[in-house]
Parts: sequence; structure tokens; C-alpha cells
Amino acid sequence: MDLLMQHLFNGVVASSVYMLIAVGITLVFGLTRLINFAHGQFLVLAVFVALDLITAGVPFVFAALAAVVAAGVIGWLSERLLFRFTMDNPYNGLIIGLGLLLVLESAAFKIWGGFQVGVPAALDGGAGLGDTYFAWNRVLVLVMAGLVTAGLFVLLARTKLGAQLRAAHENPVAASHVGVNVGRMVTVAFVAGSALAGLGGVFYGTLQPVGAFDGAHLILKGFAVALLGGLGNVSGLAKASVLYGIGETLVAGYGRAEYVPFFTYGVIIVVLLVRPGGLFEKHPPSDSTFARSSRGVAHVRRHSRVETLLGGAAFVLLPIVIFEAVGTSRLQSLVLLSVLYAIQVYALAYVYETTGVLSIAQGGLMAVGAYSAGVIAVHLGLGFWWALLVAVPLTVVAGALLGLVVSRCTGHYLLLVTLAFSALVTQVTLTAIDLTNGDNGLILPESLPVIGSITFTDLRSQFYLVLLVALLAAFGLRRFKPTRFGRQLAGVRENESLARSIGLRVGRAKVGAFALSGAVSAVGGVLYLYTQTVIVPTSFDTIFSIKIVIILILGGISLAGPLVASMVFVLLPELLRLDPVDQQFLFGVLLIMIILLLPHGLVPALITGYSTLRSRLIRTGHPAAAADSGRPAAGGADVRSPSDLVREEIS
Amino acid sequence: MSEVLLRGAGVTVRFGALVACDSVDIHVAAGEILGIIGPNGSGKSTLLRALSSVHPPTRGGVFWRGQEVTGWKVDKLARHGLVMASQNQMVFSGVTVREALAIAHSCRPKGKRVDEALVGERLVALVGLDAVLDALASDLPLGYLRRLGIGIALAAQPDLLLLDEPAAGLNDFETRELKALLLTLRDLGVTVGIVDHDMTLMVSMCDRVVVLDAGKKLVEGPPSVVVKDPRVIEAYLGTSMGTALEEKS
Repeated sequence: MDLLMQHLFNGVVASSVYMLIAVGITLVFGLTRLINFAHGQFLVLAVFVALDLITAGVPFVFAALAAVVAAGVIGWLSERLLFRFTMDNPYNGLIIGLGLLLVLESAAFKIWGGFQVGVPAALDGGAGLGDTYFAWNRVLVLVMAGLVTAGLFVLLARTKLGAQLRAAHENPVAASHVGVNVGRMVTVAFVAGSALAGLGGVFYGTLQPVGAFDGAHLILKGFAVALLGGLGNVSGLAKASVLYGIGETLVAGYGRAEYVPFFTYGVIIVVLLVRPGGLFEKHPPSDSTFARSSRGVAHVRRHSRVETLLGGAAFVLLPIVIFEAVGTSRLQSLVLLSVLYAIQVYALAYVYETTGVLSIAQGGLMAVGAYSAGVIAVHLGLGFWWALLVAVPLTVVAGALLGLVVSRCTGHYLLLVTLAFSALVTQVTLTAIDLTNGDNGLILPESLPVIGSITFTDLRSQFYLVLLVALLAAFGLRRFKPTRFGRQLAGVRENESLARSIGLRVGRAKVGAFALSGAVSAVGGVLYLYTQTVIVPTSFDTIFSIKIVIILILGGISLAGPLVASMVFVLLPELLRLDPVDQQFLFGVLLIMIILLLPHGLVPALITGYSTLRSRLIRTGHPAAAADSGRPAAGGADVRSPSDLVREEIS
Repeated sequence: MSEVLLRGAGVTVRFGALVACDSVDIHVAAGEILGIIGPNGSGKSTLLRALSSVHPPTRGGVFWRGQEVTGWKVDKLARHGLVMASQNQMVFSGVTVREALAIAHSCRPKGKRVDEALVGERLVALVGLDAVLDALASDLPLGYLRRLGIGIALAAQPDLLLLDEPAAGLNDFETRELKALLLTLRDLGVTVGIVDHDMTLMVSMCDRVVVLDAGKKLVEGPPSVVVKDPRVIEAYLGTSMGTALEEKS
């Protein structure tokens, strides 16, 4: 009983820190509809800055202030240099946030190393009351966090700045019409939110140690709280953070520390499933699915059949040429690995290119496939075909479940739910040691089956098998799009509410898309198991899912995109001889640059470049040219569309 | 009398203290064009949204072919044959007109009897989109956009098509085209319920109109009779407008 008091106290203290994180998230989100994935990393940064200063002899108060300022500055910089350019498209902002997270994580690792560190407590000692011990430091954290949040409340409710912030939140256009500088308000929200994260970081660091790669984990906790309270709802956050903090402490206190992630991700998924708007939100969110619609990207065929054929042939031949050209088996196995990645990217494309829903759960689906096959093979010894036969339906079911949750959520929530799903699966594979062997991984005792005279024991035959599956996935996707179901999904992508209003069961369509994605993912996962022969939970963790998203965006919407981008992604760091941290840094930078400079992806950019080059070279007034531009042919070949005129003016 | 497709009984919609629709009884019979008219803020669009389940009524019931459908999901109603096309619903904008219609065709309810006039090239010809098939939907001028919106709704093979202000923002020529399209639809057996501000269009096209004022039903009847009703003239048209219409007809 007395232990319960201690847990409750610790829980409330932890919740005050989570509240600071969640308030920061919701401050930024309320104004920009942006979920900044790097937010948690600002917190980590503050911990390191505070620790360095205190070690150098600076008193706690000044060190903490400096850490808060540092977090605020990095928030300010990220808004001014990055997020400012994606304000009209929070979706791209979110991906930039992912890139920034990768960059900051690897930078923190480079500067401060990989050890977890804590901040020395501000106050020593404490008071005992019964069996409960109230450490002064924890009391201080609780009081300070409470004061800061209350101060923020007053600021929002009473001051002119607060009124301007609220106006910009309610209606940016109307606010700017009455003289509110909305852009500045966004900056203010970013700086304030990041500074809050800094303060939360210093406090969190006094409670428990933090490492360079803890940002992603912390942001998920912050999201869990923000979701519970309802994003954008400041008053709900206080209640939600107390609920969450106490829940987490109880789980850790009476269960095991490894169960805490289950609690975090479980909260996210269950809340989104039951009350998609958060526990304390009276009105459910009304914004439509946060999905990519084509936004005016013409799907008009611009290339002749010959060109398409040549492109297709190049796309098939490229991996083969590279595989045969690289001499060493180490590089060849990397080419094989990149094709395995590509299969997962195609699996994701079955959801993304059709419904426009971006899912950060591909690692989770692949893990379900690979691990179920692994368990069948290792524990039951039933062999490849049984593994495949069990893994595919299981992953389809997992995908359908994920799709079910996703179809219940709108807006940014569905990205979170996919992230939580992926993290949950990783945690299961880590915890169910009896089946999965935990961190040590499953080692496959057998190899691919013999088909005819092919044994699939050497790299080359394995490569061609995997490539064949990747090509099937790619062409399958192309064949799938014009089917009835494919078109229904396109309807969801382009205008979900319209599709619903003409009778489409949108939820069912999404479930179907995710199930399909699961099937492709499972086949890829089983092949991964049988070619790599060892699987560990980290093979399919959140970072892996993010990588798959990066590759998809890098490659862009095209047949060859995922395959080409996977090879660039897997081979380039190896050729440059980068260590994993440098790789992560590079990919973060790459992701940000792609979004800012080539928002449609690498391969489509190349295709567009080719089209431009061709139209420069062939200046004949071909009658098809007018129709090619995707507009009604209004006259002869000399008629130029407005966009052509604009383009000419620019160049 | 022909079959009543849609009936609203005592439809009441409240937004907080505001009563946007107050116990309205209304029905749409198969084969007619029903117009709902009334001054600004009289609750026309709200009524339409309540009938089509976009925003279900606070009180009262909606019946489809005699079956109570109050509070049904929009997609379920659409699968039963009631489709609403609203002026701010827009279209599948990121794709070509051809693709948008193909998408709509794919979203149509399974197993529903398909009217050959509302499929493929005949649908395209019906809504007059032949010339812009390969244009991006987002590039279309307003008149085409509206017709694409109606085309998408028609691809779902509706028995009753509800239209919320389809003529808003259209010029005279585009409005005449819209009228011709809706009259053709009626001849094809698609029942139409329409809310619009354009009185000339409504009076000349509708078989029957319902006049709303301040959320209540004022009168209903043939348009030529209704516009001469003194209560209607007083509440909505104003004397001068009424005479103007009389002179016109």
C-alpha cells in the first residue's frame, strides 16, 4: 500500500515532465498542424547542454536556463531554415521533422557519445512521510513544471501575445486580416514549444538518464500524452499527462520496465481506436484523412511506347548489371539486400500510391512475416513452404488490423498509429524471448527449398529469386491500380469524403489496402529471413520503417523508383565507407533536401528532366503536344498554355 | 401518384440555440424535380444536409422508400440510391476527367442495377465533358467542374440526386446548360432534389417547389402557383421581384 503512494508520487512527477513535452507539441501543432518529430531530440539536446555546463562548474539554475535557451534556439533555427518552407503542406513538414530527427540524433552521438547520461539533481535530500520518500528534486520538478504550465495558461488567456496566438490558431487568414503577424506567431510557438522541451529535458535528465538516440522514444511518449488530451487542447493535456504518468509508473513498478513501451504504444492505439479525437476532446476532429492527393500532378502519358519500354527494360536490367558488375560477394550481398528493401518499399507503395496514406509501419508488417516464418522454421522445423503459408495470412491479418485502426483515425493521428504499431511489434519481438530469442535473434537452421535443379544456396540464384519477386511486386502494383479496387483506393486518395458520398465503404477499402500491403510485405519478410538467415528485432524497428518511407519518397511515384532508390540508399554509404551514424546523418540531410528541392522524388525528377530536354530538342509543332500538356486542345500547335508561358518567363 | 422516394417528417436541426430547420415535413416523389427555395438563412441547405445524412437531424425522421434511415452513414444511403452532390464537395481533383469518372464508376455500389445511360461514354456525353476528358480536373472552369461533380454523382447510379446550389457562380450560358442536363436526367428516370438561389432557373425547371422561411415550411406546390402566393412574395421574393417574375412568364 505504501509502495503505491511512492509509485503515485513518482508517476505524478513524471507526468509533469510529459506535460511540458506535450504542451510544446500541441503549441506547434495548434498553429501549424505540424507534428515535429525532432521535438523529442530538442529535449535530449537540453540534457547534454545542461550536463556539460554543470560539469564545467556552472550552477544548476544557469545551466538549466542555458539548456532552455539552446533548445529554443534550435527550435527557432529549424522553423526559420526548414519548416517555414513546408507550412502549406504539413505532410512534407512531418517528413522534414523525421529527417531532422535523424540528423540531430547522429550529431548528438558524434558530439556526446553513445552513453546515457543524467543531469545532477538540483536539490539533494528529501523528506520521508511514512514509507514514502519525497525527494526534494522531484518536488521541485513537479512545482516548476506546474508553475510554467500555469504561466503559459495565463499568457495564452490574458496577454495580447496570447490573444494573437489564439487568433492565429483559430483562423490564420482572418487573424492576418486583422493585423496579426501569423508568421511571427508560428515562430513564437516554435521557440516557446522548443524551450518547453528544453526545460522538460533538464528535469527529465534529473529523473533518469538519457542517451543520444532517446529522442524518438520521448517524442512517442509526448504524443501519447498529447493524443490522450486531444491535440491542440491545452487543458486536456494536464489531465492526460497525470493519467499517463501514473499509468506508466504503475506498469513499471508492478510489472516490468520492458512493459512500459507496451503501455505507451497501447495507449496510442487504443485511444485512437476508441476516441480518435482524444479522451478530453468533446468534438471529434473533422479534418479529412491526412493523405497525399495528387495535387495537380498530371498522370497523362507523356512518353511514347518505345520510351516506356526502354525505361522498363532499363529498370529490369539495372539491378542485374550492378549485381554482375560489382566483383566482391560482400557488395553483391548488399545489392541483394537493397532488392529486399525494395520489396518492402513496393509493399508500402500498395498503400501509399493508392490511398495516399503514408504508413510508418512497414517494418512492423515485415517483422510479423519474418518472425512468424522464423518461428515455424526454428521451433517447428516445417520448412520454407509452411513458413510462407503461415506467414502470409498472418501478416495479412496484421495488416488488416492496422488498416482498421488507420481507417478510424483522421489527420496526423494515423501516422502516429502506424508508428505505434511498428514500435509495438518490435517490442513484442524483443519481449517474447521464448519464441523470438529476443535480442540474440533467430538463426535459421535451413535454406531455401530446391526447385528443379536450382538450389538457391549461392548469392546469385538468391539474388535473381528476390529480384523476380520485387519485379512481380512492382508490376503487380501497376496492374493493380486500374482495377476496380485500385480505382476505389484512388478515390480515397483524391477525395475521401466524395468517395464516401457516392457509396464507397472507405474504411473497408483501407483495410483491404493494408492487407494487400501485408501480403507483399510478408513474402519479402520470408525472403529476408531465408537469404539473411538471421533476424533480430532491430532489423525491423521504427528506424527501418522510416528508412522505407525515405526510400519511397526518394524514389518517388514511378515503377523503377523504389528499386533505384533502394540501391542508392543501401550501396552509397557502403561505397563511401560511412559508419552507421554518418549514414544516418547523411540520410537525414538527404531526406530534408529531397523534400525541399525535389518534392516529387528522384526518379520522377529525372523523368521530368528528360521530358524537358526532349521538348527542347524537338521543337516541331506536333499536334499531340497540346493534348499532351493535359489540357483541352484549344487550337493549333502554336497555342501555349498559361503554365508554358510562365515557365518561359522564368527561364 | 408516383412512389415517394424520400420523406422527411418533422425534420429539426439545431445548432446550439439556433433552430436552422424547424419541424419540416417534405417528400420527393419518383420522377420529379423538386426545388427547395427560400431567403438566405432559411435553412434550405441544412434541410438538404439533414435529408442526405451529411448532418443528421436533431429531431424528426428521414425515410427512404418507406424505411427509416435517420442517422444512416452517408455511404450506406448512397448505396441505397440517394446521392448528394454539394457545391463545396469538389471533385477528384488531382486526376484527369477521364480518370475521375472511372474512379467514380469503380466506387459505385456493388450489385446495383446499372443504367446504361450513366456509364462510360454515354455518361460523358450526357454531362458534356467530351472535350475535356484528358484535362486535369483541377484545371477545369467552374461550369465544367460542376458538371464533373454531377457526373461523378451519377456514376454511382443514384435513384435520387440531391444538389446543393449547383448553379452558384455559373454564368447564364452555363446555367442554361445545367438546366438542360437536369431536365434530361429527369427524363432518364433520375429524380432530382435541388436547392438554389437562381429563381429563374428554379421556377422554370422544377415540377414542384417547397418554400422555407426561417427554418419553417411556408408553402409548397407548382412553382407558377407558389411565386404568386402573397406569403411567399412577402417573406422572400419582395413585391418587385414577384412582379418581375410575372412579367417574365
